Amino acid sequence: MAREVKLTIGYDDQLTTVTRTIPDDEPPPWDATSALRVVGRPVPRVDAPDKVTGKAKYTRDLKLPGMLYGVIVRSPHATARIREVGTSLAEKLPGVRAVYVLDRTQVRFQGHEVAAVAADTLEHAEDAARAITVEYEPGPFVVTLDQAMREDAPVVMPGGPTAPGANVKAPSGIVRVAAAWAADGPTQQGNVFGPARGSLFGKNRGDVEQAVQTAEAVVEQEFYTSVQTHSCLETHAAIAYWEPGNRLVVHCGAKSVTSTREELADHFGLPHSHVRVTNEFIGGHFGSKASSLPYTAIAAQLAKQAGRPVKVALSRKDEHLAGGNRPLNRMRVRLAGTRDGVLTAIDLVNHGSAGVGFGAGASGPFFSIYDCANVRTAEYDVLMNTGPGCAFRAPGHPQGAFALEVAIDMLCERLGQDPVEFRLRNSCGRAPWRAEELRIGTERIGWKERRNPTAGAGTGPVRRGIGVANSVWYSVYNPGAQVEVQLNKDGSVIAFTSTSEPGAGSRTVIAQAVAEELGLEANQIEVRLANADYPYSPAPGGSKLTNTVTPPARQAAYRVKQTLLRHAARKLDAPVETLTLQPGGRIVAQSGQSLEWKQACALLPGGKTAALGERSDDYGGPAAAFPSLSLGHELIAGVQFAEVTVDERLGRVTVEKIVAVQDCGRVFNPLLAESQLQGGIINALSFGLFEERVMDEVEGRMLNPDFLFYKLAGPREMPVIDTVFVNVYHGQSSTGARNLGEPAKVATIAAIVNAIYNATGAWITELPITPGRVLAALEARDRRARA
Amino acid sequence: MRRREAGPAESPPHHNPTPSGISRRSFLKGAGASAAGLAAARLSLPAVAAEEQQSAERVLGPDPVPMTFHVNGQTYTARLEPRVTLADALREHLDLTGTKLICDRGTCGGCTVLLDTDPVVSCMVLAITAQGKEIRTVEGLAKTDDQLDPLQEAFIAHDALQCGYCTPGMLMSCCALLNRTAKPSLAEIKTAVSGNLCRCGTYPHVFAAVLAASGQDPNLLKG
Repeated sequence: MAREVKLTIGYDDQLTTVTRTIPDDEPPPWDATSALRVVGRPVPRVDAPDKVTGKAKYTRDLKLPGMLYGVIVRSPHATARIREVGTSLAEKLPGVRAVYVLDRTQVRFQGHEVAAVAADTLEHAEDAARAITVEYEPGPFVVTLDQAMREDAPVVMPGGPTAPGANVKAPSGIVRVAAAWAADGPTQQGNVFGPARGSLFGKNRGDVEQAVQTAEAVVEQEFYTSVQTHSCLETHAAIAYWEPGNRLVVHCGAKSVTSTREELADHFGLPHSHVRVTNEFIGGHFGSKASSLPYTAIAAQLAKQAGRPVKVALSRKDEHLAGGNRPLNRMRVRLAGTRDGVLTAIDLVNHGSAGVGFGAGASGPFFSIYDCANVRTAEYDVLMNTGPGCAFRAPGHPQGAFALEVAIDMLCERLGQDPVEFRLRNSCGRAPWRAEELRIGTERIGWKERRNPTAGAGTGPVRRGIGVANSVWYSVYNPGAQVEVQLNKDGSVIAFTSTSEPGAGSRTVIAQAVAEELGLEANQIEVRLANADYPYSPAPGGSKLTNTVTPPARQAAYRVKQTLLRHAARKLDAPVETLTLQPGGRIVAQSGQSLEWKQACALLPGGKTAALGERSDDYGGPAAAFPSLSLGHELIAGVQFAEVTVDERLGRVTVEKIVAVQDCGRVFNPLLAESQLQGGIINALSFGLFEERVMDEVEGRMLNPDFLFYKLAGPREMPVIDTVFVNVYHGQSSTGARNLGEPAKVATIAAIVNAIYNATGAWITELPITPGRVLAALEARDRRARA
Repeated sequence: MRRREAGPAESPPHHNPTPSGISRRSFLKGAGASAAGLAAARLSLPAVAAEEQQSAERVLGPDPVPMTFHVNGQTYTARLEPRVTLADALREHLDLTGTKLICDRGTCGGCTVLLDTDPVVSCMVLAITAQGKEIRTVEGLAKTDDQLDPLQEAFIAHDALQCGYCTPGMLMSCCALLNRTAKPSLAEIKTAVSGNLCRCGTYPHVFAAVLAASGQDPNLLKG
């Protein structure tokens, strides 16, 4: 059953009317002309009071009666055979209640789990963990890309992380698909797997060699990006206990309660119905915390042995080693163009490493940003003896956009093209509103007045420059996601769904969608999340939360509203279709008779009613559909401009200002959206300027598994950040919300690097942009000038 | 003696005065931070302690000893091992989990509390040395459940939090700032929270919230 609706779509003054076919049971979709009261407003985060008072309970904060503390013993070696694990000493120490040795004879990275203990205090558990004696037989290893790619390199894992007996959990989801080496059939040479010639985000097209031969300018450049760890402030944590009847209860720090339930049920051979998984708050995920393994299963195992609840929380060091990371990439980029400013070829060879995992693809931006007719990519996953990578805020995209967008500016330089004009000409086909974004950004950064007409044109030791870069992301959403809305006779409203709240504002946007539909305010809606027993909605990831859950939240509210109106109609003795629900929840009949919200809710038989809403597919159909995941047709586009100063004596870069102009469909909450956009920019700035996992090639260990030598951007490094949103209405769902968290992070580094070039005339091609790398680039510039 | 794996020997001094002469760091040093010392201490803590008990006049631990704390105007007593940090005492033993333990090395500011009026990173303070001082945590910021501190209200209004995990530490650093400076400049605000890391990237909104809470225009930020 379906019906047709006319919707006004577009952006700014570029509006048109389209006819869409929508499911019959959906509310009339909001479009560009909808006047909304709660949605689109800067509604404060509904759970903020809990977070500013210390009442918000994160998994690490929970303490259950009789709870024990679990500590995991991990390999100090990059690779080793385990000869023997001695536990007798640990078992005798005070307070020790359980000792568990994993079924594992080979460890493949520093931090790989070997054994675990549970004791009555954390201190006792740590004492006992130190008393476990493990006899290792260390083997040859590789912990850098160069080591791993040598012809005589020791092989990390024959068959790779998906081979039987590999004993490593490979990353899953979008990052896995992004690399998609399996698409062409994996070929393995030593530690190198691939190539993949396409991904979720695009396929090779046209004829690159032909285009390069006829081009008027070609640039070729290699780029390198270091490993970035997620560094969530709340480390991975879980509390597990068993109830009579072999039922497992878990408070988990993992963001996906549903897949955690599946993982644990499979691990312990239980029906899914015997595993309960919940959490309240998560101290950041940024793509990690998708899997609950192995730490949650270890907590559950210890709890089983001890007969008491056990909490396992990773230390900061363990989090760096085994908590996931953004893979490193070495990307060789070749671009070709013509004198009249047309990009004619994009060519990428990418060797990336997610350690003992797969998923180091970075080609998304190469397929998606430019209208270029000829695109070729070849991507290789290289295995190393380091902790497995996993999805990290826009997997592959900050790296790929860094390489591509800097190479674009190199090509512009060669062609004598203005970088903004070039992007207007070549990158606005699939997202025409990018042109509007470039216009806004150009104005706000002062592109024409303040940019050096010639790179490095300034004088003195401190140079100032301006740069630009594009970002891209996708309308990712999960059709079939559900939200239940319950209306109670006292007028209170509860929304239930199983997604979690790691900081992006899930509770708030769901409350807004429900409140808008019911004529209430967001803070009148209680939102209960992150319980595997609730209706399914996915864990946050792919930036899809608002896109995915606001339509079913609205639909569920719409349905309970229909029920309420039916009861009100009977009471008011008026036809239901003549009733209106006013702001404040008052129901008014044409006669002028009315019921207040609570009066109407009091009519509900049994004192409550509930309804389920479900995310339908985009009205225009998906561009691509995977099991429980779809990609919409329209891209998400953004542009960022950076202004930097470079102290040429010290090689020190200061980012003075970022202007970010971003599309995320309908801006659902400008206050939270600004937080997201700033957060993505700051995370990228931190990745670009400071963060670097340093591996000791001799010992095979990470040298900086802390926050002292693994540097994150702090308050003093903050530039002025100017954010502008362009609302783009696609008319593809009942709310029109799209995705934001990840696109925010994609363009920043390239904009900074292009600004450094404008300031100094030196190209940065390796991350992070440390003073040493800046000084080396300046020296290379000076050598070129002398030659 | 928690987590003895190799870490930096010294961190730059965070806003962390050593209240009573025993800091966690000097305690660690005293216990022998050299590899040999660690190896010796590894399996014989009780033996070492027993030996010390004979030679020293007054040695506390390793067994739990009674301690008394004044937190947010209330008195708490607990029996804790002397090696327990203030952060762990608050979180694990006094059920005050608003204070977050994030890096456990004094590098992130997540566990910042006020000792008398000074902001300190409580993972670097031994609980035993915090006795006799007024300890203020995030739970003590609001006057009542319904009446939040203006700083907390400003954090909500300006969305100066995302996941919320750095928020208690941020609030305590900002609270200490506003206690000593009624109208701080943007530079003073950045300095006050320079030891507080936030992974979600809320810094600009934190600056805006502090400007607003001190009666200044948050648009100062826009440059």
